[in-house]
Amino acid sequence: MSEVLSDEEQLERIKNWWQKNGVALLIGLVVVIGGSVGWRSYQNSVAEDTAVASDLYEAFLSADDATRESLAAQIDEKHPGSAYQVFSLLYRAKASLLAGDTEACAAHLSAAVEASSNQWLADFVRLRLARVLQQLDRTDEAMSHLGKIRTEGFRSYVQELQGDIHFSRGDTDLAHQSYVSALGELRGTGQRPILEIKVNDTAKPNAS
Amino acid sequence: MLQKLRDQTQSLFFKIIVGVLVFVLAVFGFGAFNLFTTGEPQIASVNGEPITQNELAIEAERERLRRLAGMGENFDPQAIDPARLQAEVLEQLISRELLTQAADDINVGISAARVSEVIVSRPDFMVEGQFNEDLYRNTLQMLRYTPGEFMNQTRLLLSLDQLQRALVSTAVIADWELRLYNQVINQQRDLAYLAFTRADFSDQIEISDEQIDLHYRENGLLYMTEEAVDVQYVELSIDDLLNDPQIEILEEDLLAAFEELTRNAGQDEQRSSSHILLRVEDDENIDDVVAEVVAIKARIEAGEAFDELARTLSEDPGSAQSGGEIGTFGRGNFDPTFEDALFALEPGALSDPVVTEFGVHLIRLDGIELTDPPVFEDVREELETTARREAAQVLFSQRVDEIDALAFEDSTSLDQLSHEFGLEIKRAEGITRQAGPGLFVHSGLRGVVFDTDVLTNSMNTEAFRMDDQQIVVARVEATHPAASIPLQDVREGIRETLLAEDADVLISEALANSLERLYGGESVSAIADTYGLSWQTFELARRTAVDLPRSVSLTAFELPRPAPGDKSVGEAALPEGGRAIVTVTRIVDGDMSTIADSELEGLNRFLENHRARMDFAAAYEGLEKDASIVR
Repeated sequence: MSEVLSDEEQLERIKNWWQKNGVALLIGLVVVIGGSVGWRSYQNSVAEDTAVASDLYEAFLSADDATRESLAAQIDEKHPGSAYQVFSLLYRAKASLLAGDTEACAAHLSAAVEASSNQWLADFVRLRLARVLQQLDRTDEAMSHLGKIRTEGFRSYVQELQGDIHFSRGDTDLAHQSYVSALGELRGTGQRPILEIKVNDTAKPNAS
Repeated sequence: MLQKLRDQTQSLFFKIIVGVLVFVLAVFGFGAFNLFTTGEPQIASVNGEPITQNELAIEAERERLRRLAGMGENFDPQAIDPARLQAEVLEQLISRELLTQAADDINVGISAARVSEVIVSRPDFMVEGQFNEDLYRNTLQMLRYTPGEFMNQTRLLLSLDQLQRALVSTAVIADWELRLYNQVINQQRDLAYLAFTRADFSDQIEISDEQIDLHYRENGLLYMTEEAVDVQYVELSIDDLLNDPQIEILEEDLLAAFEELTRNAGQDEQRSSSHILLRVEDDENIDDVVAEVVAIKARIEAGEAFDELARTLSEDPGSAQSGGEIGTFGRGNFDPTFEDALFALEPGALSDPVVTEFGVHLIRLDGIELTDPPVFEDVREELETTARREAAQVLFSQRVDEIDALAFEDSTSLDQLSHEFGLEIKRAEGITRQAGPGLFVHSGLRGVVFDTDVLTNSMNTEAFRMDDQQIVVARVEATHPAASIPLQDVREGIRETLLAEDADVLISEALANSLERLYGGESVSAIADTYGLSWQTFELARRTAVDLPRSVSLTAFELPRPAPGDKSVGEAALPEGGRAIVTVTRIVDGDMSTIADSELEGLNRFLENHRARMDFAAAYEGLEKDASIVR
């Protein structure tokens, strides 16, 4: 401060400042406090909702056959779009397949893709769904699901599965290409001995 | 006047500053101040979430304690390399952070009730099948957790477990995949190999004495004995001190210990019980829930089965399935209201509705177990053993300090140690850096013996802790430096080495020549005849075949499919030296229609494991590649 102010002048300035800006400051405070309280109570309600869904899901996991379905229905109804709906659908899909109902398995997995709240989870389920669709001879759908996978880290697994599908349909050359690019994606991370076997097995004959 | 005004202004500024502080604290909590501090040094970060130096140090120490606890008999703190431990723990922390963020993103979490339930039922915290508060607190203290931190840690690990299991144990295998894997994995191949072993070529090789001499002179270091020492040592263990005259166990101490024991035992009444729990949801009135419980009680009194109703109505998923059974517990395990109600009941009786933070309970007392109070004469010996061991432990750490001091003070002999503490001087011979007899199998102890001061300056070692029960002080009595082994003792060995080297050269030439002729169209038998060798042939060999060298079958199964009537050719190293040419003439894929049931089962199991592992690897890599991880 370049000028020397008396105490009265200082007080006067503060008063003036308050008259000019007081209302704005108060509104600002209300907005910040309100927003913060609101955000926190929103977070709390999400956490509470998660805990309830989590307990319900644990009950679903340990339920016997009689109560299992009703618990699943409760999850669907009360917590649609939650991770727990997706998880329970994964379990239901497995149960359907083991019971020999491949159609129902695919339906559960499709529902799980729909219910997934983020790309990673949806893509993970798509990998599984594609395999089940191939079992139903719905190869086009399977390939189209694989095409929708955007998560970079899944690429090698997508290519391996594409290779598997080509291979099982007798297209060894296409399968080989897919397997080779799947192996190339790895760049030395992790061991995939089965993939290597499949690469070798679909290779063209060498001249002897 | 002026002074007064100054005071006013100052107090106004003061109020504003305090006001701001209160405001920040109230709205953002103490966490807000992290924004203003520069933060601890961080060692890595995952998507901007830091992993601090401090966090890593604490977690590495916990891991070290866990590993030491797991070592048991082979307790050796020096076996853990701190740098490697830190690196491993850092990787663990990074992957845990990555998975935690994934779990948070999709809102996976665990309720407080379940966290407590899991902690209370962990075997680590149980004494005789029951949760023990003291054990719990002690363990936490040892691992440097506050109860709050431990709850959070448990909650975190439980949610990661939930996520991981949901992704992995739901893995499915479709029939077409099974067919595909069977085709590849249970494939059979017609194969043959022509082995060129060193023995096949050794009669063409002459090794002269001059060659041996030259090799011996040029490779002196290979033909040396290892440096070894003979030592004197004394040892002391807690067991040695159990009957030390300094330990005196007084009868009144035993009586006091007995009283302590019976004071606890007096409360040792255990009650087994069952309950039906109705939770009070936010939109429910507690009186209505109490009325519901009264109605349930009436139904049971009218003859309906408690366990049936527990199964269908109870909102405590943990106990509902088992008909409401909670198990057998003493006092101090439950909510006090619950406990008071339970301990007021007669066996078989039902309680009135009991309200706790969990909801409204209807409790049934199933039985009471009383433990008879012990008799002094029966437990006297046990108490004395315990008391003796405790006293010996104290005496032991005292002695260790004294021994350590004396071993350093009079560092050129063990005599005084032996005399002062009544320790027998023992001897051990032929200890090298790599191995030793008796106590000297302990690598840490050998390390101390080969320390410069001990080895070259003939000083006593420190009182070396073998584990927390035993110490050793040693001194080197004689050293046997590394020395050359005389030529006549190694002559035969050198001859064999040189023979193998020369044979390998001949084998390489023969192999190259044979492959060239094979590609040129010559028959396999013509090639074998040239060297007086013969092909080993296998029809329909499997990947797992054991009657041929592993390297040969690996090569054979890596070779591409041969064109019809043709063969694929490769080469493999043989386990005992030498190499082989490998050919494959036919490939028969695994066939679902002929596979044996047991084989199909094995394949299915293999594939389930494989799929589960791959699914988790995929899930993790999916997260990893999109994350920014800074190390």
